[in-house]
Amino acid sequence: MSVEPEVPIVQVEEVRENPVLYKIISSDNHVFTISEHAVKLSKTLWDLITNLGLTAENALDNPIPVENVNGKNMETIVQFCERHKYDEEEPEYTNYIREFVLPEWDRQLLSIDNEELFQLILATNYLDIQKLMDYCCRVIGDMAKDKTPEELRIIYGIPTDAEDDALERSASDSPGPSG
Amino acid sequence: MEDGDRPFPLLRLPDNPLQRIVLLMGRFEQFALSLVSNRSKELVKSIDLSSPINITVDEEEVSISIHKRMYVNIRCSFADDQVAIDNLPSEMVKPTVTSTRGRHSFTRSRKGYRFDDWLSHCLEVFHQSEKMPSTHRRYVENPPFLHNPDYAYIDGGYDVRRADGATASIRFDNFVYFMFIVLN
Repeated sequence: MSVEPEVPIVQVEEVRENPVLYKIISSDNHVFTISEHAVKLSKTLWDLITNLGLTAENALDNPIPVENVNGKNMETIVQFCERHKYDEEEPEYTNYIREFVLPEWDRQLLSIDNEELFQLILATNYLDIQKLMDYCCRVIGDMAKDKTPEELRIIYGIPTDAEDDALERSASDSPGPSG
Repeated sequence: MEDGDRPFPLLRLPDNPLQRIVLLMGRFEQFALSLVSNRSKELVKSIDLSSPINITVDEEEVSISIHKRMYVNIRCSFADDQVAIDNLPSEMVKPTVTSTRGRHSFTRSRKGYRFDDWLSHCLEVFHQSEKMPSTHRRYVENPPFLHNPDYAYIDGGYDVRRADGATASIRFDNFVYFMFIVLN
């Protein structure tokens, strides 16, 4: 794998405790280094690393391209994973409401505009990072606090039933790819 | 949402984050979301919430109470005439929805919704429809409203039980719209 980075390497955090580092290349060719403990928080990346057979010896020579995530989101994700790499493992996801408190550091990290938050949660979903997913979901869910249905329609951009029906009709009226 | 910020496009998210977001909301917010549109209602239904539901009939209002564990969590209160008047336009059926814990509330109608539609909505969203069967038959002894004892039974509707044990049934149909019968 020989992808030449077009921009300087972003060193998010020096890792002294664990010498194993991996390189990740975002969709817009930003290069990030991330420690082994941190990258394990992403099930997708860790599966990829395992399947590619990357080891401490060859990891830095084989950057991992992630085509679905841009540099801005990857920077946030790497920061998050480095911050939480030694956290206790989360229990398996269950269908109960978990009363966790969003730490202030993470609330600051996720204080971004709605479009960025949308892109970040898509990236988090793709990379399968459970804790970051929960934190993003908490931030988005908190937008609904004490709001009326009319306010929720505006906050979440939810179309009315009439708008949904019109959209469905226009989709079914429009010719398909072959027509 | 900050001023000038675009709406967060909730319904464009994949199922996994979408359902987690709703799961992490409070009951009041989940219920409010279910009232925004049919799509948002289906979303709230998809996370399989289960909350017992009671109907309370007072002198001046009828309430649908949604419980969380042992406590009433949300109350939808209808003025008496919003339930009793035949064919009242749905825009005039405007319950006050109150969070009994946080003391937040809103009053709103929903297009096409009368009392029984509101009740069905609550039962659907909180997965109680099967626990409140609307087809079972109950027999009435010496019914004051019927001359022919052969017809002394009620089909469908919902039972309401007062603290002293008195039981009544609320039934809806196309002719009288709303019927409230005290069974014993």
